Formats: sequence, structure tokens, C-alpha cells
Amino acid sequence: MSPPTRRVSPLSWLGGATRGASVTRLLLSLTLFLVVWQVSATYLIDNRLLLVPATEVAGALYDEIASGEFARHLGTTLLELVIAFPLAVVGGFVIGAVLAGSKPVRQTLDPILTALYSLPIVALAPLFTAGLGFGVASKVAVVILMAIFPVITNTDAGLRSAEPALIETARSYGAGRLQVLRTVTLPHSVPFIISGIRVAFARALVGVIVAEFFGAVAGFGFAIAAAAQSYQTARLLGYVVVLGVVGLVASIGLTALERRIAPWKED
Amino acid sequence: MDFTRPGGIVVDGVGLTFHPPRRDSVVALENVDLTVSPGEFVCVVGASGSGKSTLLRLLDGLITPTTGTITAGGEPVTGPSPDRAMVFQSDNLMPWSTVVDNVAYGLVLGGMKRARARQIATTQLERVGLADAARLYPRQLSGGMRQRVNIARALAVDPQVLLLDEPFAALDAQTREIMSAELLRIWSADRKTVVFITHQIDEAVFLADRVVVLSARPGTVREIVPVDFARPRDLSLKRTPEFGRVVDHIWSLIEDEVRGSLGLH
Repeated sequence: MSPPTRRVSPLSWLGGATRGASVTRLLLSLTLFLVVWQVSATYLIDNRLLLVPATEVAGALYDEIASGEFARHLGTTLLELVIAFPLAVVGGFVIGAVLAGSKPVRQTLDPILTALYSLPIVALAPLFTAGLGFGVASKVAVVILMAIFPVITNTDAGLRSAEPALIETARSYGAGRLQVLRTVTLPHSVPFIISGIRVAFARALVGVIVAEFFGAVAGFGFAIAAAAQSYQTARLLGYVVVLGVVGLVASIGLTALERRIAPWKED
Repeated sequence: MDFTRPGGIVVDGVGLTFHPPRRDSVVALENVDLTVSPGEFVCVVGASGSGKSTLLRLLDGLITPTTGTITAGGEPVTGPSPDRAMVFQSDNLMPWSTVVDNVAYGLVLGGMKRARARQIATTQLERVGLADAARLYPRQLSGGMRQRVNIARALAVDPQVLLLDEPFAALDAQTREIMSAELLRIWSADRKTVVFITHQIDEAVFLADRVVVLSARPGTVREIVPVDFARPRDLSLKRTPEFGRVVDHIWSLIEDEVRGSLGLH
């Protein structure tokens, strides 16, 4: 008689935590998405202005890359993000830390911050274009305003929510204020700050694209607006797909970063 | 006995009154006198609200008394010191540090190089039987293992006095029995002064040279009961009639107050 073997069903393997399983999951969901897209565009929706098949979008995207237009728009949008996003993260962290450190300051500024956070900042994009011009500066301003608030809020919440018992333990081992901050409060706040950055990046993408809609000479938002004005749905969707990929890559990157600098966290 | 030697503690007329905002002030401790000899194992028992944990925080220097004085090794206690190490009821390990770095925590805070601190931490982990867990994170350990790491962290700073605040209260009964026997084994190696808070009377009698019984509201020393059982002790001691008699005596001192706090008479 053969010993009983433990059979692993394909479905439970797919739910596992291995790298192979997560790559397979990603490929499966992308394939599913493309198939649904292609089928809907071919058989269900015949409005060519609304939806074109994925294959046509791929062709349009290829043309954009070949002509060098894609690289020009990518370069501009990336430049705007690369300037604005780190500023938003660092600025948000500093402001969040100040709020966490001082109750009177926090209580005074809280209503303004709450109002600004819930405000659709993109509504101000035309104003920045008018005031700062069609170049990079107006986009940087919008992205910073979009991205900074989640970082502020999460840094503040993270720094203030460390367990009092851990702080007392640190003090019982002779930790002063700074050592408590370095060995308890800051490490505790890392996962909070990273999830703030995650939300901030999604908002930054919205901010940069919308700001480019309202007046720019290059960038993904500019390209999308131009394609829409000339009814080039395939070209428009090509840039949208690339934006989706950027969001996905950023999310995966942040997850990897979190695993690296906060390895104690449970998934 | 010379209580001014390292490891000796003198508590003289100590009282502590809390003044919570917008509420009546609470007298947690009143006129507490207690001396602990170097190398002595003292347990403190009492009904809930007798200020046991408050007394321990005073000894550590985390809070300062309203009246009276506390000296440790002849020096007045003005704040936490590496001479005294505290073990809290919840293990309070830093979730972001590995087990070995948690044990090294007090040493690194004290300015020791990390590599050297880790060496000492590893030795302490061996003492509590957790050398294999050094690279794990606290969440990967059971409650009993985490509490052993907590004790190793306190031992690592090589304090003269070990202060333990109901360290086994969160553990199940069987684990608690084994842990108290383990604590005696570890303690017997270098006999540091120990002040151990518990609400388990049998745990106190099993561990202590003397059991300090606190009365409740305000907390003050009701009686100090000497426990003369020979050492080393093992868990079979708990099943002897002499052991039962000491436990009964202490229980009779506390019973009325527990009934009172429940509204029973």
C-alpha cells in the first residue's frame, strides 16, 4: 500500500503566499480583464467612440511609442510626479509630526485640515494653470495639495497611537523623550505612514492628470485630452491603460517596501 | 541586614494620592513601610484596588510618592534606573523588534554597542530556554514564551532588583505553574532582590521568602507573613498541609476586603 499523500488542490495553491502563486494570480486577473474587454468591445458595445477592442488600443499605443510622443508625455508626467510627490511625502510627514507633538496646534488646525482634505482639490487646477502657467509648476502645486493630506493625517494618527504600555516600558528602561520617539513611537507609526503614502499616490495620479487637462504642453493628461478632442478613442484608452499599470506597479512597490521596512506586520 | 547595600530597598512612610481631573482624589497608598534585604524574594498580595501595582511603579521610579521616601541600595529613588528592572503583566515586547533585539533593548538604550548587547541577550535567552527563538518576532511566540522573553529582557540589564507586576496573570493555569517554578530556577542562580506582585496567594507562598499583605483603599501594609519552606522548592510543595496553612492564613487576611469590595458581608 502506498502512503497517503496530501493532495493540494490548484485552488488552495492559488490562495497561498508563495511568489509563484501571487504572480499567477496577477497574470490570471490581467488575462480575465483583457478577455472581458475584447469580448465586450467586439460583441456587446458597438459604439466605437466609447470602447474599441484591446487589440486596437495596443496598436494605437504602439504607434505613439514609435513616434516618440509616448516618451515625451511620459517624461513630462514623470518629472512632475518626481518633483511633487517626495515634497508631499516629506512635507506631510513634518506637518503630521508637528500636529502629533502639540495638542493646541493640532486642535487649532484640525478644522482647516479636515476641510482641505475633503475638498476636491482638482477643482483648483484651472486656478493654478492660470496663476502658474502651462508648465510643470502648476502641476507640481496640484499634486502636492492632492497628496499631502493623507500623509499628514496618517503620520499624526500613527505617532499618537503607540501603546502607552510600550512607552511606559521604554521609560522603565531609562528611555528619555527622544529615545521613546526613536524606539517606540516612530517604529509604531511606519505602517500608518506607508498606508498614507499609498493613498497619497493614488490622489497624486488623479491630480497630475486633471491638472494637465486644464492646460499643458505635454503629459499623459494633455495627451488624453488631445485624443478626446479628436475622437481618437484607441489612443485615449492606450494612455489610460498605461496609467492603470503605473498605479499597479506603485502599489506592488509599496507593498514590497512595507515588507522590507516593517517586516513585523502581519499580512 | 544592611538595607543600604546594593539590592536593599527601604520604603518609609510612603503615601500616594491621585488627583484625577474633575473627580475626587484617590488615596492609593497610605503610610507604607517596608524593607527588603538584598537577595530577598518578596511577594506582595492584596485585594484589587490595594495599590499593589502602584507600589511597584513607585519602587521603579516611574511615579513619585506624595509623602515618604524610597531608597534603593541606599540611594533615593528619583526615576527609573538600570539598577532596577520591571517586568509588566502584559509582555510589552516591541512588536517591530526580533526576540534577541527585544532582550537587548535595555542594554542598547544604556549605550552599549548593538553587537555586544546581542551577545548578552543571546546568553539570557539561553537561560530562559529560548535560544532558538532569537530571530523570530514576538507575534510568532506563544504567551508563555513572550513572557519569558520579557523576563530575559529584564535580566539582561543585570539589575540589582527585579520588579515583577503580576507577570503570569495573563497565562493559563498550567503554564503559570511551570513559569513560577522556572522563575525560581532562574532566580536561584544569582539571587537578585525580587519584588513580585500577584493576586494568586498560592503563587506568592510558593515563591516568596516573605509575603506582604496589603489592605485595600487606602493600601497599607496589613501584615508581613514569613515563609520558611526550604529551597530549592518544587511544585510538590504546593500539595503539603503546611503550605495550605500559610495560604489559608493569608486568605483570611484578605477575604473580608474582597467580600467588602463585592458588596457581600
